[in-house]
Amino acid sequence: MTDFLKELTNFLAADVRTAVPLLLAATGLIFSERSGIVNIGAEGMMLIGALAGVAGSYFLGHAWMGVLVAALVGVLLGLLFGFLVVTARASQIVIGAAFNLLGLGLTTSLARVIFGVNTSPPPIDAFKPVAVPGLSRIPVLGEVIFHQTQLTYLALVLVPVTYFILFKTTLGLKVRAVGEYPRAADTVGINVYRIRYGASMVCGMFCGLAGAYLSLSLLNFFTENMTAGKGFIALATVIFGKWNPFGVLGAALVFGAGEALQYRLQAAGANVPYQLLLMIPYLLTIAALAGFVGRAVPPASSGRPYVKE
Amino acid sequence: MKKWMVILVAAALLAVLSAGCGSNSGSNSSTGSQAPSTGEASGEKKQLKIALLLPGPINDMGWNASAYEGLKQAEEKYGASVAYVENVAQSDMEENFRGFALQGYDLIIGHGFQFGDAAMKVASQFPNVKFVVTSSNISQAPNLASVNIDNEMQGFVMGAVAALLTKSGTVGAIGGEQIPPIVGSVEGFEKGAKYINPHIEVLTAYTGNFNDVNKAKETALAMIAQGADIIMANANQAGLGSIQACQEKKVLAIGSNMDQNPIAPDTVVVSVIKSVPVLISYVVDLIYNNEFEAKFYNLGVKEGAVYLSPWHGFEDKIPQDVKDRVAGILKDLEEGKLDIQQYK
Repeated sequence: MTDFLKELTNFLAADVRTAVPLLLAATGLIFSERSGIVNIGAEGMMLIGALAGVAGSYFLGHAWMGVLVAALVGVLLGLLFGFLVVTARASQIVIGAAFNLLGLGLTTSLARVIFGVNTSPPPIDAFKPVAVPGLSRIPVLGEVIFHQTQLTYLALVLVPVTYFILFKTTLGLKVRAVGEYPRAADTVGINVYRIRYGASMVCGMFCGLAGAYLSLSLLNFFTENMTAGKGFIALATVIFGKWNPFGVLGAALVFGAGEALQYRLQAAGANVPYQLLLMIPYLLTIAALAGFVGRAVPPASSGRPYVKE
Repeated sequence: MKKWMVILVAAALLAVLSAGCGSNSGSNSSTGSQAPSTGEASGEKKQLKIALLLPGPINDMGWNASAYEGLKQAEEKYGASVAYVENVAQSDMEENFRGFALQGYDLIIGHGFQFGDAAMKVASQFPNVKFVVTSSNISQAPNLASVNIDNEMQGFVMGAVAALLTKSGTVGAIGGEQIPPIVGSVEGFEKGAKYINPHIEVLTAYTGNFNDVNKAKETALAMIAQGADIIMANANQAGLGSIQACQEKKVLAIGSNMDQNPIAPDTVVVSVIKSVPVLISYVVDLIYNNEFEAKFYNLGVKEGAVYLSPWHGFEDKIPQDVKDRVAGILKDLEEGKLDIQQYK
């Protein structure tokens, strides 16, 4: 029994660790998609955030400074994205794809300039798990939830905060109105462009944080293309979670569980072709989208630029 | 407005393409004392032009990085003129081979078995250009050869070291993509561990790619939870994740392909190096000595292609008899006394 509990704890802890980068990026994507902007460039933004985080910690000497730099760089990326798709009205899909390519190319080049080619990753200040006094003593859950890094706590706290902002404040109502029916929002005096710019910048910030979580919390270095598709899974997480912060939290945990299960089955020597195990998270996505969550209805004006008359 | 948008996006894409898949032709025309003449009659060697096609980035601290190092060595040793292309995708292999062949390169190396098909196709069209594919076993007269480092031998040594050092009796091996060089190394690891101790438990897993550092880390953590106390990862840059997991959990890691001790001096006990530089210089030697044949060259301990790194900070912590045992295995492999194929 204790063995089982230990294994369960390990499994759930791996689940949370794997889910948090998806959760952070997906929370940001909720803001932008709720306002009518589909940002498939999340992967690229995360990657840039991952490098910015490591570089920030490397030059400024503190992990939190790295997070700050990653968030700021994310905001700037969001601003650029907003300019391109809101003001210049370029196709959101094309710009998103361009951001993904930009992220890979830019981080590859910059990482080589900053850290050199074929040197060991420099020692940087990174986050270490911090136990919450008292709460971390709870069996299983204490270890799983209250023995994580500060960024994990931040990600979890941001879930209800996001929910509150989106569904309980005027600002949230404006964001949702702009995503559903921008013309109507415009006629009642809501500045559609400003809301979308803001949402895009918030989305960029969250993507930057998600990247910093990878490079400063899960690991403590940057490697090329280290996001390895997590930005795209975050997009699926948003749909799976029905554009709702709590739904997205659940969705991220399901994806995380798929991954965590897969690590364990392989390590335990399960006699199954490993490719099948690697498919688990993606099979979960398809299964979930096909039936479990019912119809996923995106905001009505998602992906459409708004032209003021 | 629309128009300059298009220009902007196009410019951004171009910038990325040139940065990402940048063909860095490092053709520093060599500083050789004499201008390379074509006078073959006088016995003078003309300056070789060597091109290297890489499947990944040159700073992965593994497979691609060591090939780049080999290329640099050839440049210095022979004053060769060299060029390389990184991140060559399957669909661009033929074009890259053809491009260098047309530019008059003497030797074009595709770094990885996956370059085989494209090399065979292009080689037949350029009989005067030598093509070499690494980690493959193909050949095609008169101008296509393959060189390989005996991955299984490398894995065997790593597995033997792991089995000699484990206290728990459980060891782990993590591979990236399930491709021949990685599979050979992981299977060799199993054989080497069983050679030392037939009852040892060997955990193996593949992460399916070389980018996802966290996947490698979580896989290593899962293995450690299963009782593994020494882990080898052969997954290019993703392998760094496994080493970090070992460091956090205070178990040992065995480095693969390069000396990985500097990454985590307290964790990487020793590395079994696959000297890709030797691989490349072996090929260049062949060509300089006119010994090139269109055949499969399999290099191991004897050719200096597989060897053990120093024990670094573990020099005094590892019992002498263990070190002697490892040295003995390497010696037997060098002299051909140990046939790894007979161990299962």
